[in-house]
Amino acid sequence: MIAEETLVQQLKQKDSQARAFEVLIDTYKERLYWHIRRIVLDHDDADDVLQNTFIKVFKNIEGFKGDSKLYSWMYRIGTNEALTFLKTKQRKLGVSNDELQQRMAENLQADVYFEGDEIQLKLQKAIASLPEKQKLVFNMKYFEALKYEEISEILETSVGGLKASYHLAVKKIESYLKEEQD
Amino acid sequence: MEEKKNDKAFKTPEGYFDGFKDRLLDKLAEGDSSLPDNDGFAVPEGYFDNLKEQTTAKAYEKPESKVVQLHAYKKYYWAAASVAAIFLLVLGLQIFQGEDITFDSLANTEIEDYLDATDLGLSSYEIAETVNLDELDVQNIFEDQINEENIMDYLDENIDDFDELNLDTDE
Repeated sequence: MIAEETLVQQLKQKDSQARAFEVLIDTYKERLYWHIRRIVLDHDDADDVLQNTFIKVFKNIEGFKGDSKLYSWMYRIGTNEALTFLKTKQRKLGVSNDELQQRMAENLQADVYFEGDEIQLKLQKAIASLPEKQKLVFNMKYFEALKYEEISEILETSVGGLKASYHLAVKKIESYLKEEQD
Repeated sequence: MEEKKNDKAFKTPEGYFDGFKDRLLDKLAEGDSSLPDNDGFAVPEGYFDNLKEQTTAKAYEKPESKVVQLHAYKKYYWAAASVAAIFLLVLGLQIFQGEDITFDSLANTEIEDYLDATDLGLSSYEIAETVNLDELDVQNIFEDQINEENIMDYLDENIDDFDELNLDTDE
């Protein structure tokens, strides 16, 4: 695999840019897609946000100073793009954030690209009920198996704070699922 | 206060408390087994194969430029543009000679409208944190004398059952 610094350098140079961009997409498309998909839930929305994320990365690569890792920077752009997308959607529909999250989770039942069983659907509804940060941390830790240090770099939050958020998220999800069972 | 008897009898391993919180939170988070490992999401067949072409094409897309129709009377545009430019220049000079626009000269309603219409991405908690409470004179609320008649009007309009108020019957 090509070293990150080399890829960044190639992305900044006109003659190697096109090829490097393709490598960048190939390397990160799936990881970024799943990260975004778990925030916006719908495949078509995830596709839009993912493409916008790559385009933003491509257009702003000159401004990437290498203070953080490239993938952390891309994850951060992807997260912001996804959250902005949801805020716009929320405003268009004239609903609160909580309401939108619940609607999105409800829509999964009829989504052809959601193949989860009953418990997976309930899990998504439980995740939808979490505050934004806990939701992000839970998805990144539980499904994407990212390390706390990596999440810390992406979300620019302390590792201690992330552990507390994750712990709270797990407890809330468990009690949500337990309530649903009773 | 009574001295604790066990203070010197028990010891902890070096650095025990430094990593305590992290170890505890890790342990608490371990009980994830009741949750499914998979999230159930799927993608259309071949989605990732086509993604590269689509994204690359979009990234290199240039914004469409407007098509301007050429007309025979193009030469008159210059004259019209000159007159308009002189007019705007004179108008602009007059405006800028007037009073400077300051934050105070903005009407409160305009500021409120702006805050209403703009998504600042701040939670009410964050907004509350930035408001300087020193400038709020809460005392005014208590010091202002409220007309008795107004109080009765308010109660009349808003209270369904006067008995709930436990008013002194002597008055």
